[in-house]
Amino acid sequence: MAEQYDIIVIGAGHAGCEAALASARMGAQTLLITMNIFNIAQMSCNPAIGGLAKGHLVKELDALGGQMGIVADDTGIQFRVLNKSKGRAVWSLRSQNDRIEYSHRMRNIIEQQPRLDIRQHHVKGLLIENDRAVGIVTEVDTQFLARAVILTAGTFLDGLIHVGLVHFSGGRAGEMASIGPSRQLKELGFHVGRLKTGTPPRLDGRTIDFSQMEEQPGDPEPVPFSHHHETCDQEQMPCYLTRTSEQTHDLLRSGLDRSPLYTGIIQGIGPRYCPSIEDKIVRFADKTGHQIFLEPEGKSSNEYYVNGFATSLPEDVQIKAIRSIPGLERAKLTRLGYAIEYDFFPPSQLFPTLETKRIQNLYFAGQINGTSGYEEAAAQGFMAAVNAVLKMRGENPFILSRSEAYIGVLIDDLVTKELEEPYRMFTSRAEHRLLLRQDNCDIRLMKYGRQLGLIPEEMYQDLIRRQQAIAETKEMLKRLKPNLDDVNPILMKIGASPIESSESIDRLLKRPEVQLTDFAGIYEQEIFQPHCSRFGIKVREQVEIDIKYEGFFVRQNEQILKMKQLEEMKIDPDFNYQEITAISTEGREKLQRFRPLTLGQASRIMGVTPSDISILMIMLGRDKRLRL
Amino acid sequence: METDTITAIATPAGKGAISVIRVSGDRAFTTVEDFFDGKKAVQDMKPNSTAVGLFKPDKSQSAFIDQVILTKYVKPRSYTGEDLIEISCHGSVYIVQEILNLLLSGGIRLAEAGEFTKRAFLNGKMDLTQAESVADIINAQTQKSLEYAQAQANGSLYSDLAAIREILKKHLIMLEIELDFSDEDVEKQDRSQIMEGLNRLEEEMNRLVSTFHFGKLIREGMHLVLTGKPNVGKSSILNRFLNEDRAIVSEIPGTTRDTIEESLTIDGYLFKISDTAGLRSSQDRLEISGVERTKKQIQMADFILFVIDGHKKLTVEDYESLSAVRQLSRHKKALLINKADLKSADIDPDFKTSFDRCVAVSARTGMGFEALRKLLVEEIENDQVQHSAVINRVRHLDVLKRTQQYIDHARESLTRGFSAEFIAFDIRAALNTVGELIGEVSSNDILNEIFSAFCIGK
Ligand SMILES: Nc1nc2c(ncn2[C@@H]2O[C@H](COP(=O)(O)OP(=O)(O)OP(=O)(O)O)[C@@H](O)[C@H]2O)c(=O)[nH]1
Ligand SMILES: [Mg+2]
Repeated sequence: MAEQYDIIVIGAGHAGCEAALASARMGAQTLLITMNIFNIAQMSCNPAIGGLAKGHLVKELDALGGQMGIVADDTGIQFRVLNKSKGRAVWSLRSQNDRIEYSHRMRNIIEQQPRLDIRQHHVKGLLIENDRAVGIVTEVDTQFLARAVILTAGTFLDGLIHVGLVHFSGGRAGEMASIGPSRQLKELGFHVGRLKTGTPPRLDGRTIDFSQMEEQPGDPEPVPFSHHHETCDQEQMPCYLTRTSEQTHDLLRSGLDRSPLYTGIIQGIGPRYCPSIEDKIVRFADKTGHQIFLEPEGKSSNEYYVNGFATSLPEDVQIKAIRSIPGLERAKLTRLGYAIEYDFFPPSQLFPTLETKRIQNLYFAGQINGTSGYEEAAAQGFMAAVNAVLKMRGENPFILSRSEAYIGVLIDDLVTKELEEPYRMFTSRAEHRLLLRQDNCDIRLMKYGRQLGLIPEEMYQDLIRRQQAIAETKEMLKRLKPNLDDVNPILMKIGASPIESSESIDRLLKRPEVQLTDFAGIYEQEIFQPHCSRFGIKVREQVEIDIKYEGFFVRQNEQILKMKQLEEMKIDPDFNYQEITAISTEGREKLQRFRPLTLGQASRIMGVTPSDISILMIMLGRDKRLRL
Repeated sequence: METDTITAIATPAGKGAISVIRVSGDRAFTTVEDFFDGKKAVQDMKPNSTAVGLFKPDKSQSAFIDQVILTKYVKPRSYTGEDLIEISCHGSVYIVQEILNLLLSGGIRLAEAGEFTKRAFLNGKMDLTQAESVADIINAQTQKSLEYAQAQANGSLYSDLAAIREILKKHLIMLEIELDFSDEDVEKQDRSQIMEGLNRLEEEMNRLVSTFHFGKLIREGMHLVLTGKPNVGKSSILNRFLNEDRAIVSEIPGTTRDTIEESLTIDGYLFKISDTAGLRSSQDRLEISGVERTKKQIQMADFILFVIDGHKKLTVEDYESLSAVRQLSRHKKALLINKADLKSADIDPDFKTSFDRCVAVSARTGMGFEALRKLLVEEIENDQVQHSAVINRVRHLDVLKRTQQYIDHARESLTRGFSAEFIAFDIRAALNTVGELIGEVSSNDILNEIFSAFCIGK
C-alpha cells in the first residue's frame, strides 16, 4: 500500500525546504524527497544570502513566516547593509554564511518539524491521473501518493557539467542529475528550455596571501534579516578584495580554444548579470582588471569562494589564471569552477499560484522556473506550498501584487514575461520600489503570515502596537511647533537654514538634512517618551520615512490606484481568446498561451496592446452580464 | 467602474461649422464649470438642457476662446451612462484645440480610442449583442491612430520625442546602475551632469511646447492686402467684408489714396485687412506716395488678395500691377475676379496661373464671399493641421506637459540632494509618459542596456 501524504516536495534545496516547512506548518502532512540527505539547503554557488534586491526577498519571506532569514541570521559570519549611502528603499542586507552550518541548521529544523517526513530517494517520475498529479514513483518503484506535488529540482534536471571540453551528467559538482521527471514532463507536453550557469573555483585558505588584498569587514553593528531576531552578535569574518591583471586575461584568453562556451558546446543561455570571467574579458576587452572577492566558506572550513571568477575553462587554465592574481600566487584549488546546463520550464506555463496550467496539483518552484538565486527560489517554494495547501482546503489562492512585495513582482514577471535568461531580482524591476522597502516588510506582509498561521500571534500584536505608535507619533509631530529660539540653533548646527515663522516638526522633517533625533533636546518628553521606547528606533525610523518622502508615496500610490481596477478584474483561465477577432493576432496568441487570471496580468504581457485590453474588458463585461 | 473623466471630439473628423467636444465622468460638470461663463452655472442646468456662454481660460477675465453651447446629461441618462456634457463650439481647429487644452489642464484626460463607446457598453447602455461591434470600433479607431502615429514616425516631432526618450533613458540607466549594481566597480554619475542634462531637456521641451501654440498668424491675425490696379473694386470688397461703408468708393480710378486697415474675424480666426491705393504709375504726388504705402503693405502681407475687374478685359496695368506684386512678395496670392454680377470677359489663363487660388466675387451683391471666407480660413489652417489631427496634437502637447512636470520633480529631487531612487522615480515616470506616444521602455530594456554596455556581475 503506497503511503499517502497531503503534499510531496521533490528537492530539498532552498525552494524545497521553504515549501516543505510552510506546508507542514500549515497543517499538511508533508513529504520532502531529496537525492542526498546530507546536502539539504546547499549553497551551490556563493556562500552568501541576500544582497541588492535579494535582501528584500529574504525579509519579505520572513515576514510571511518563511525560514531562510532565521537560518541566515543564525549561520551568518558577516553582515553588511548594501546601498547604505542611498535611500531606505534600496538598502539591502547581505550576509556571508557558513555553508556547512547553513545546511546543518536547515536539516535540523526540518527534522524537528511535526508533520514533515524526509526521505532520500531518486524520483523516477510523477504519478498523473486525468491531468492531475497524484504522487510520485521512485527509482526503486516505491510509490508515494499526495494531493499535490511541488517540484523544486533546481539545476538537477538533465544537468550537464562542463569543465573545458569535458562534460558529464550531474546536478551539482559531485552529485547526480535527475533525468526521469524532465523526460516525463516533456512527454506530457511541457515546453522545456535550456539554461546555463556557472561557478568559480574554491581555494584552500592556507594558500592565500591576504596581506596583498583589501580587507572588507562586516558592518560594525550588524542587523539581522529576521523579524524574530533583535540583534546578531556572532563574531564576523572579513572578505577580501583583489583584482585580475592583464596577465590574468592573457592566460584566460590562451584557453578560449578549449572553452565550452566559445567552442559552442554550451547551448544553454547564461545570465548576463553573472558572466563568467572568460565572458568578461571577451566582451569587455578594454577593461584591464576585474574585481575579485574572496569569501570565506565558513568557520568550520578553510575554503574560500572566488567571487567574480566563475569559469568553465580547463583545469590547467583555471590554476594558471588564478595564480596570476595578486595574493593568489601560491593558491591551491580545492574545487574547480564549472558551468552547468540544465532544463527549465518556461514559467509562462504556470499560474501565479505556481501551479502548472497543464497538470493540476503540480507546482513548480525555484530554478526549474528559470530563476537564479537562493532567495528567488526560497520565495517561490514558499508561495507554491502555501497555494497548494490553500487549494487543498478549497480556499482562495494567495497571490501578492506587484505593489505589495518583491515576491509579487517576481512571480508576476515569471508568469507574464518571456524569459530571456535566468531571472534574477533587481530593484529596478519593481515599479513601486519606493514603497517596497526592507524596513516595512512586516507592515506590508505580516498580516498575511498571520492569516496563514505562520506568524506567532504575539509577534503580530507587537506589530499592531508599533503601527499605532507610528500613527500617534505622526499626529503628534504635526502639533509640535517649537519656538524659533529653540529650533533655529538646532537647524543652524546641522547646516540647515533657519526658519522665520514657527513651523511644525512634521514640516521641518521634510527637509532632507533634518532628522527626528535633532529635536531630542527640545522634545525629550514627547518624541522619546516611554510609550514608544519599547519600539524606540523602529517607530522613529518609520515616522521619519513616512513624513520625509510623503510626496513620493502619495504619487506612487496614485499609480497603484490607476492599475487597481485592471488588477481586480478576473479572467477565467479557460477563456477562449481565439473567438475575439478584434484583438490583434499577436495579442490573441499571447493571451492564449499565458492565460492570465486578471486583466492587470494580461496588460503586462508583451504584445498585448492597450486596445486589446479594452476589447477584452468589454468581452468580459458581456460574459458577466450574460451569466446574470 | 472607471471614475476618471475623459474628453474627446465627438464630431466626425473633417470640417464642420460646429464641433462638439464631449466630456464624461464624475468630474465632467465641475471641470467644465471652471471655464464656462454663462448665465447659468453648470450645476444649475437641468438634465438635457442647454446653456449658452463663453468658454474662458480664466473666468475673472474678459478674454474668451469662443462662444459655446453646453448640453448637460446626467448619469445614468447619457450616452456613456456617466455624467456627460457636450460643448458645441465653432468648428475651427484653433478653437477645438484650445478648449481641449484647457479641459486637460483642468485634470481630465483624453479618451483612448473607442473609450466613450466602451464606457457606454460597460455601463449597460448598449445591447449585449453590440459587444462585438464595440470591440470592432475600438479596434478600428486604434488602427487609425496607429496609422496616424506611423505617418508621424518620420516627422520631426516624433524624432524630437525619440531624442528626449534617449536622454531620459541614458540618465535612468546611470541611476539604476548606482542602485542595482552599487557593489560593482562602475562609476557613480556626477549629479551636476544629470542636472545639466535635465536642464537642457527642459529647454528642448519648452521649445517643443511653444511650437504647439498656433503661430503668429493665429495670435496676431493673418495680414491680408487688397491690391490691384485702380477702380477694380478693392474698397468695395473691403466694405463688403466689414458690412459697412468704411472706405470711399467711386467710379473714379485712384479714389483710395491712403491705406485703410481693419480687423475682422472669420470662424474665430482673426484677420487684418488693408485696402490700398490702386497700383499704377502716376504723376500725382499724392497718388505716388499712396502707391509707395501700398508697396509697403504688400511686403508685410501674409496673404495677397489681387483684384481684377472681371467685367473687362485685362489691361497692361493689370499685368504691371501683378509683376510689381510678385517682385514685392513671395507670399501666397489669390486672384479675386470682381464684379461677377456683370457679364464676365475672357481672362488670359496664363494670368491665372500666377495665383495659388482664384475666386469670382461681387462686392455689389456679396456673391462668392462665402467661398472667399472659406478660402481664407483654409489658408490660416493650412500650415497648421488637419482637423482630424487635432486630437493627436492635443495629446502630444499633453504628453509633453506631463513629461515636463516629472522632469521638474526630478530636478527638485536633485536640488534637494535626494538619493538616486527618488530621481529615478520621476525620470522613469517621464520616460513612461513619452512612451505613451512613441513606445514604452520597460525595466527589462533598461537592464538589457546595462548588461550590454557595462561589465556587471560576479
Ligand atoms: N457692378 C459692380 N460694380 C462694382 C463692384 N465692385 C465695385 N464696383 C464699382 O466699381 C467702381 C470702383 O470701385 P472702388 O471700390 O472704388 O474701386 P477701387 O479698386 O477701390 O478703386 P481705387 O480706390 O480707385 O483704386 C465703383 O463705381 C463701384 O461701384 C461689383 O462687384 N460690381
Ligand atoms: Mg479704393
